[in-house]
Amino acid sequence: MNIYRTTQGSMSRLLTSELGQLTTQIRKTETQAITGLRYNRPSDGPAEVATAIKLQGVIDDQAEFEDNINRALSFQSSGDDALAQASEIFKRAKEIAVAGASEGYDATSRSAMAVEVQGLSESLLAVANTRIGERYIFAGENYDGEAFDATFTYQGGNNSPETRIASNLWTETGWDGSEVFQGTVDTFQVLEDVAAALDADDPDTVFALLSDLEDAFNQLSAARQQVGHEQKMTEDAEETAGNIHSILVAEYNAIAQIDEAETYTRLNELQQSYNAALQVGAASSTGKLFEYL
Amino acid sequence: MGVISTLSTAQTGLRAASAQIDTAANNVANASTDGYSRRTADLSNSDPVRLGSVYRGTGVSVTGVERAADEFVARQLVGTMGDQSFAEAEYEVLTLAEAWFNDAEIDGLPTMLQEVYDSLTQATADPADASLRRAVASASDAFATSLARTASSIVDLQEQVQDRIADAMSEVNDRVQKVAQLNERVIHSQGDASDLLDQRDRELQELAQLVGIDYFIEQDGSATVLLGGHTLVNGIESRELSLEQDPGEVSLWLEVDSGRVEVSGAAGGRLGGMSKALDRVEGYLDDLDTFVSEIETQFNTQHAAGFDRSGAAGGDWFQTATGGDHISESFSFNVDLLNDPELFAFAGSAAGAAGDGDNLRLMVEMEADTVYTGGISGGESVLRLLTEVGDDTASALRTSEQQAVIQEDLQGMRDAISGVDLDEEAASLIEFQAAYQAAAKVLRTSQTLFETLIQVV
Repeated sequence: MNIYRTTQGSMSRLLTSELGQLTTQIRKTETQAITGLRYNRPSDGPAEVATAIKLQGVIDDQAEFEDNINRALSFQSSGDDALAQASEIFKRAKEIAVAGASEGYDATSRSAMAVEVQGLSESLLAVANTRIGERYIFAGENYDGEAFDATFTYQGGNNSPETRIASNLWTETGWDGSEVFQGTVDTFQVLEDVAAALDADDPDTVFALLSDLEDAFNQLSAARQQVGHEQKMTEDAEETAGNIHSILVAEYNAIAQIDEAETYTRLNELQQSYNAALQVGAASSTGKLFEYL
Repeated sequence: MGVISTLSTAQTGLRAASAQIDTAANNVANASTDGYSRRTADLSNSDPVRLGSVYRGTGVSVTGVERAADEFVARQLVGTMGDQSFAEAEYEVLTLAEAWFNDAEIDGLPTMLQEVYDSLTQATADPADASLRRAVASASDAFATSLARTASSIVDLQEQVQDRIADAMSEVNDRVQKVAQLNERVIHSQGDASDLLDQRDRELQELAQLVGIDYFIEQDGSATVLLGGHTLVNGIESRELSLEQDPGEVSLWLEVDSGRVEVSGAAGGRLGGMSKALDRVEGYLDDLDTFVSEIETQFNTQHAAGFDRSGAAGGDWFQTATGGDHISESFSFNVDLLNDPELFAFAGSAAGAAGDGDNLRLMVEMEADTVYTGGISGGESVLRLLTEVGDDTASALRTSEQQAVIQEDLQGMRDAISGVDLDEEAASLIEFQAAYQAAAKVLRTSQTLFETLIQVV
């Protein structure tokens, strides 16, 4: 469109309009520079903001998963340690039983062995009642109370508590002690039986109990393997969560975060444009023909 | 006869130059007057007299003052002003609504809902842990409080907009009457009606900005003003607009001979823009109500399926009150749960096991449940609402910016025709001054001639 007559009014209006637009852009760019965010309200880029919010949601999810993973790993690590101790207890019990089953020991020696096995039984009870904070890890879902009482009676629950460590992944952070210690084989009972046979100076029975000790050891090893499997799965989830988190944060930053150099350059350009517009406005409003009259 | 007639002719030249200088002075004085149309003095050579077989000129006469105006451009400008004001008013309201949905963050409600789900996920690590339960309560309460505050603020915004619409309505009726009054003065004006026409143009522009009108000029000089095909002003007659308001909605009515007709759909300008934005905002509140109803049902149903530490079934998670226009305003987190996190029914059985998180697990899985309107999850539902508000606001801003460019162009065209260019006026003044000086010289020459003649006698 050609405007043949340009009046002072149109120049003034144009200048005001240009300055207004520049001010709006400067304010927007300043907000971006201050917040570090490319979009500061949904209308700045509805689709991009929606994507950024979704990504932020997934990033937050990952952060929660990582917290849960750390908690789960501490329980699983403690469970693994406890079951390792239980296995050691049965290794020692087996060594004692092998010795007690041989003919080379007398009743006094076997009685002393019985005392040691009794001690191992108490150690096993302590292992079965392992506590992390306020949680008894072999009490199933009833983890706020001891798993076993002094008579080896199970008091816990039969469900394993699970913690969410990924969108569709839950991991065990406690175990049913009745299954671990009193599953196919009652590990407490085996130790009690060995101690009783030793105390009774009965090497034949002690010998016969060696296979029970082996079964108890195997049962605990299987439980430890299961805990180890859960731990491995949790560690894998930790690695995955870390990788996903890094990728998502990079993606989020690419969408939502400003490029600082670009933003500051743009801000500088806008401010220069604003100053230039003011100077042009001042120049165009002076030097009128009236001054020569 | 020669010397006398020359004196007379010179006088007409003086009068004409003086009239031109006066007109230019008026233009300069009104250079910054909004809506002023520049004037030019129309000159015409006077009728000649016959002297025998010769016709001799008798000078110049001022036949009138012409107002530089193009009715086509003026009408286009009025139409564009209505469109621009419509888009600008819509954007102003939507951007305020967006600010409330946004709540100082780019993510607002979606993130707060995400925090509720995150707190539930974290609680799975130890369903009996008091601090994790408190975190769930805190996140749920913050989300519900923020949502209710958003809803209330938007309802307040609606009320403010409705007040502004009522004020605009009153101004529309005042200006409609003014146009009718100006029509009457234009029709009955005896001489130059330029100032009246400028005034009426300004009123028409104000009316367009208020309600979006069209008009045309009748033979008698009056302006007939139309709103969506209905006559607002016809000659010296004007019709009144009235407003009906209910919470969150307005309708616009025009009094006609047979009663009244609704003209809500035809309203443009600020009034139309605000009305449209009001409709949109009401839509957002309705969507928010639907979301609230769905999330309340989802959470309460699942929570009721579980058991708290004492073995009792779960109570309400979220609550709303009935009776208001929008249930979102009363949306809240159950204060009993807030005060006593032990009441969270995370267990799947009434046995009261500390680590029983069976129902908690189901609550965590609600995050992905696509049971909200449109077959989407709760997070997507609230995000969709936020995106809708952002889309509408961005669209209104784009339209407003486009209309501003169009209006700027048309305003430039109008200025090109009707605006005062000070340089041009200065140049004209030089020309008129020279004409005046020349006429004065002629007058003096005539006077000298006359005196010479007298001395001879």
